Amino acid sequence: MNRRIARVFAALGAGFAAIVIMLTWWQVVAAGELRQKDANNQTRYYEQRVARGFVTTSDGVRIASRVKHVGDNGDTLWSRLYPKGTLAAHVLGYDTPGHSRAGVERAMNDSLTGSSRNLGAVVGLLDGDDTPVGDDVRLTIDSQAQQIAQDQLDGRKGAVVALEPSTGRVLVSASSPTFRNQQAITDFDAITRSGGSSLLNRVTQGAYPPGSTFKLVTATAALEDGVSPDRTFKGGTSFPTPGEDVHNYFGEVAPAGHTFAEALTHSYNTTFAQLGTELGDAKLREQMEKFGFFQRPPLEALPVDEVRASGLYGTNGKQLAESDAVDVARVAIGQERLLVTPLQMALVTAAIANGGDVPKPTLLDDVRRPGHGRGTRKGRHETWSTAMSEQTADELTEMMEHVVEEGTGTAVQLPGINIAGKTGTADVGNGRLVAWFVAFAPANNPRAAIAVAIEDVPSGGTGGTVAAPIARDVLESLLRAE
Amino acid sequence: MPRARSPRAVEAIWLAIVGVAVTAGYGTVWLSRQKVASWEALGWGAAFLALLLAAHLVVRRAVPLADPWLLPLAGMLTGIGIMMTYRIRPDLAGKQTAWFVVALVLLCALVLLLRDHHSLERYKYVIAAVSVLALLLTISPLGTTVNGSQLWIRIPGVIQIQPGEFAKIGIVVFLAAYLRENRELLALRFSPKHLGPLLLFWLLSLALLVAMNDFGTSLLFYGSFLLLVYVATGRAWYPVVGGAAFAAGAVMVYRVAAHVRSRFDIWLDPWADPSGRGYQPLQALYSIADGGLLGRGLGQGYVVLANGNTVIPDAQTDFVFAVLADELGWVGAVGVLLLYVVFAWRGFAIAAGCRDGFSKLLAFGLSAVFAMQAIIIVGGVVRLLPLTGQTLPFVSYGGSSLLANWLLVGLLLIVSHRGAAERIREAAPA
Repeated sequence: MNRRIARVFAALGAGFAAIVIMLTWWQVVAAGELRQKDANNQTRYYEQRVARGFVTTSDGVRIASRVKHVGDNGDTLWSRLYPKGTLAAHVLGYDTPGHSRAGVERAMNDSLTGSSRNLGAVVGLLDGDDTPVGDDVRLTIDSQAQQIAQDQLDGRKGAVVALEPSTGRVLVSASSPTFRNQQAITDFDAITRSGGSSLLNRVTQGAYPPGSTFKLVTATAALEDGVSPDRTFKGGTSFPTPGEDVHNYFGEVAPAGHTFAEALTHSYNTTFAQLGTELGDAKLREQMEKFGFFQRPPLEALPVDEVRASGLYGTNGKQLAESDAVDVARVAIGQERLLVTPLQMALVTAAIANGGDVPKPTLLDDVRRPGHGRGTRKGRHETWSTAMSEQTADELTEMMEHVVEEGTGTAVQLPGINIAGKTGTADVGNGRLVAWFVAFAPANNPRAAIAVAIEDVPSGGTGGTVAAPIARDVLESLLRAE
Repeated sequence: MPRARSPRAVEAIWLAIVGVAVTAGYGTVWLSRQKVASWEALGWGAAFLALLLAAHLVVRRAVPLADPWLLPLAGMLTGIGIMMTYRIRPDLAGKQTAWFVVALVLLCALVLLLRDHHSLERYKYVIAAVSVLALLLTISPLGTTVNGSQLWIRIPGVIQIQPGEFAKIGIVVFLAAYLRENRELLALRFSPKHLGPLLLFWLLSLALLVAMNDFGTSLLFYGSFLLLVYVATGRAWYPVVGGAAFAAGAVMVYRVAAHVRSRFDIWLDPWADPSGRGYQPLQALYSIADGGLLGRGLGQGYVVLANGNTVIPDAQTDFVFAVLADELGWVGAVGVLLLYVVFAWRGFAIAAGCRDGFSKLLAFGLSAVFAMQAIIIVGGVVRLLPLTGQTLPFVSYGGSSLLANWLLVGLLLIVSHRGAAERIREAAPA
């Protein structure tokens, strides 16, 4: 009989073992997934118990605050408050109970909740305080210039991004149409209902044909390849390519004997199509790669899926392979299958301003633990890649100054400040255009590089008339502030 | 030859350890609730230890040779139960402590008065009749439905009891006595009439399933019957065929009875109705997942709302294990499960050490029913099995459960004492 008793014990032991297996499944293996479920009210509660850190702009304007309230179990709970309306809305993102997070709120969640240093209950008990307090995040955004950019964009679709060339600090990042961050908490559906993809951060996610601003990349490749700014071209109205011939804007005739520098000043398509054809596909792609095309720019304060890589895209929405044939003459003038983000064009501009080095863009000035001097993490300023020699950068700067002085970009002129710029106008079909302007200033000692892209511009508008004035006002604010 | 330590000395040492552990746990909950450390928590722990030591003294006198592990194990689990009751429903902690005092008085009375469990054999039919009657009362007008299961008898304003808790002991006593008498008969050559009792219990358990809508109670009674028959007769086909018949019956009931079906469906897919019938099991899963490996810490979980309601409905009774898993984590939850395994192991060891058939079957049956109940309720909480209205022995809040399980401890103490006494008598030179 004892052997049978032992067998039953073994069988019941197997029952307990099965329970332990199930327990391990729910509690260890599948636990993360269960905690992340939308319907999980318990996770939501724990999140609200944390006093999320503040988010401020570089000049100390608090754009994400918090309010205290009492939870259904009597505990002190916290919820987000966005006191500044739409200021830097897309960068900031949101932290909502129902629709998770976006922007800095998502990418910096571990810092904002302090989860990297709160060891949970034990620390709370020892501190004699139940509320874990998150770290405060200070962004690189300049609130005044940001506001000016947003005001200028109001009523239009597009993006403005400005950065400090030497450090990569993003001073302005505005996208329009925009949304009120608080509304993401109170009535998220109303934002999505309003249409116009107002949640899209066009600075890092907008995919635009770059138009003539891309000539900066072609020009860089040509200068690096040994082409002199003084080289002359025979001019004309069109350049033959395997596909349709390339024409100049408005049927303009490029004068015979004009120089490479003059071609940039007046943005002659025919000249750049010729330069691109001479360089060839491989060299042009190599130059793009040096500028950071084909990969997501590393912005640690934004979620990776909110930053898009610029480059050549097929109709399927995927990047083309190196083996895919492209019409290099059209690529050279910013057409063909090029799709870029305003951030990428700002980085191209910043590299020229910065003596050839592409700065690693950053949105983070510092992460600070409240009430503690220590534990502060400063944003890092690094070089992302080297795009050209210093000589090439100097030559390009001079060429870009002519664009503003006498070329297509005269609308950006500011009294007493030398500005280097480049216009762009890209046809997206249906009589609609994307108007571009990229610039940096002051040209001899650059403190800001900017890219402006306005979409849905009716024909007749150009980068010089639509985008350049916006760049001027934002640059003025940035330069005056210092 | 070194002198073995007496069982009572072992018991006293372990009771002291249990007292310290439970006091520490209670103190932690107190600290997190009141935000201050207090002597009061320590005083409560001391009182708990004193109660256990009082029981120890009675045991020392009445059944000195009894197994030394049962009292500390049951004490530890009860301590955890009172601690969790205080954590989840502080208003009920005093009541649970009072039930514990009553349970210990009952235990002492049992070991003092019932010197020989063999006398129960004589009353086996009375015990069986009372047990079945008590179960039937739950589906009479006196019965009440809690959470869709009909497991209670209520005399309004007087008392509310869960007769199944006591009936499970009664049924085991009956089966042990009956099988001791008839096992030769059953173990002999196969005869169709052997199917009689099997068929009877099969029908009875399915009837329980339909009437009470409680898969757990049904499985508990039927399972203890099958295991006892197997151990008594050695016929392995009994539990195999019986188990298959139960599964077939359950499928049949599932097809026929809508209320049983909805219980099973919510077990298979609680996400189908997350805010309705799936709410409770899902809240339990969320709590378990939240606990992770090491848990939130006692008193730190999201368990109770300001209005006194619990986040998991019935957290203090059916779902106390989910709260344990949340606050003590995987480590604590597995630790508690181990206490049940060790308890069952002691019970089975007592059965193995007894000489006579009735003692063997009684100790075995009581331990098996105890272990099965733990598996059924915890299995329900972790979605291994459909959810049932069983209590987690010693830990769930509730007087019936606590009293019945301490009675079970009392019976095991008596059986183990007499078994040990018998072994000593036999070993002694004539």
